Amino acid sequence: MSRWRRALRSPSGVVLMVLVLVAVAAPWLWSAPRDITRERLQSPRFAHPFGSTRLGQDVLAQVGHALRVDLTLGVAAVAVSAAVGVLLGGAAGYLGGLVDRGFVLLADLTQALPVALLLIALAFALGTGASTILIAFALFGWLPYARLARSSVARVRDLEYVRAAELLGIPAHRVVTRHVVPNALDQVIVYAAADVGVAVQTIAALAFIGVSLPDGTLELGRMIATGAPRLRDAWWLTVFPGLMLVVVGVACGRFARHLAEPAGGGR
Amino acid sequence: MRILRIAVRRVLLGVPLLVILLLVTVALQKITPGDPARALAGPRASEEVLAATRVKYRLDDGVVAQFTSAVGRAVRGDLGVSNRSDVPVTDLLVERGPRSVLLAAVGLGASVLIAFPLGLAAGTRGRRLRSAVDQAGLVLMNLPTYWLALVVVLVFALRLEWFPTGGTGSGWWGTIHHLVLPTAVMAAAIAPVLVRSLAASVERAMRSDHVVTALAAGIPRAQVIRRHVVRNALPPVVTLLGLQAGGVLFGLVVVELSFGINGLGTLLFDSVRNRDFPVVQGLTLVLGACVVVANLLADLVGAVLDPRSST
Repeated sequence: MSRWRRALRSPSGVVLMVLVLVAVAAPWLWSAPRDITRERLQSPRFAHPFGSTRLGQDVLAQVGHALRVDLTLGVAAVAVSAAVGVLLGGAAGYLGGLVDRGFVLLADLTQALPVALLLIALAFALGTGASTILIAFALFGWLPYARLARSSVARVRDLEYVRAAELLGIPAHRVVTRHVVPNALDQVIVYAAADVGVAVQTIAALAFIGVSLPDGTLELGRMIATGAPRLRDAWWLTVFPGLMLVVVGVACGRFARHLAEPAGGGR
Repeated sequence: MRILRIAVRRVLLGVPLLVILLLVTVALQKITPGDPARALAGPRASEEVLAATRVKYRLDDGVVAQFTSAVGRAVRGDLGVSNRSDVPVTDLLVERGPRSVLLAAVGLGASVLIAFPLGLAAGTRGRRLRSAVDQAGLVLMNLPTYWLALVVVLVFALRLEWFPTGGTGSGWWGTIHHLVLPTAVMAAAIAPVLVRSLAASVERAMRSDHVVTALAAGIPRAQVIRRHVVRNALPPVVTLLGLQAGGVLFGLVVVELSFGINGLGTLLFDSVRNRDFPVVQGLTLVLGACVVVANLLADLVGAVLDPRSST
């Protein structure tokens, strides 16, 4: 537990907590991000720290709401990838044998697939929406989790206390849920922390090219895309949503690194 | 012998991948809501065209028949006809391809030229440079490529007016002038990954027994690095470069979009927007095959470069 506390106290942990708080509180902080006002296309100033849009909407409010959408989708996407991956990898690691051989082949094939391209094709076929994103992550995002789960399950399975539990006649499912999974999950969680940042970036990139979320969704990638044509006279429409993406990505990456450091260890 | 074995194994793995790609393109027909013939022929198609499409793609037959007919057409080089412009997809590929290939080649080349010395230095010169490179890399890797492209346009094209905002230009000077910003953005996206892995790889090689021994024996450091460190550190990085091919492709799409370059990436984007099914299908197949082949080649080159493979 001290590992978590230390990671949360690190600068990236604090930034991450603030981001999550903002995302959770966005509807109360900014009640009407789409309300049209007369304060059109204002450059950043006290009333509009991130400027305002063509319709006089506050960009800061929109970024706040978009952050909420992106973080929610990012966490959901990672949860889906991790669930599929841990199931597949865990089964391969625990059962071994032919199941494991099949898993390795599947993993090799998936790794070599042009995922970005298939994501675009899939989104094209299924249409835009949150469910498309989650299906895409379930199909293509599981690989690293499966690898982690497979190796840690295979390692834990041969530890003496697990063997002992089996010899004592404790049923296999109890051994797995009580002893194997908790040990294997540790690495998965560290990886997932970094992966939320990557997933947010992927979702935003797909939204930017217009294949993951409907037009008009308040999402950071979409905001960059809609702001792009006005780059010359209203740079703030593009720059601030992007900066938010950078902050999210870097914070997740660094937070995961802190989490990965062994407890009590130095740098 | 070892290389031959790896080559055979990799090619054998490549074949099912191509089959999977073909399957995916056929599956796209299936999972798209609505009438597949309508999706293929476009919204303006008449009843006769729809009927002809059903026959050509064997849409009334089973999945297996659709798949074999797709294989047959792909082998013959028939990728269908755009339902927007009535131009064969292969013609579009030939017309748009060179610009994308040029951009990808220049972007990759620049990335390698930047990454190699930086990674080598970070791996051999100790912790301070290494951690600086790590920190900068983490930030760079989290810059969305499309956003970076827009910011670069804002600063260097719109404000400073050093470079054009987009397009391809004419003549060799115009071409180079137009390529500077897109190349820089591509390199910013690709190089950090390479630098980090190269630094890690070099660092590992520096700690290996034979390098430590060679240094202790008084062989000049530069010579040890050239002969023993680089040779051992390079193969995994080359393989990683291959695995990056998919990412490079995605970078290519967004960079082309942001700079208004009329290549394959823009074509893919436009086709997705216009629901031009045959073009999306053809591009998925061709670009996917490129990624698979790039992976395969990188693996083979990595194996050839590996000093252990000559024993």
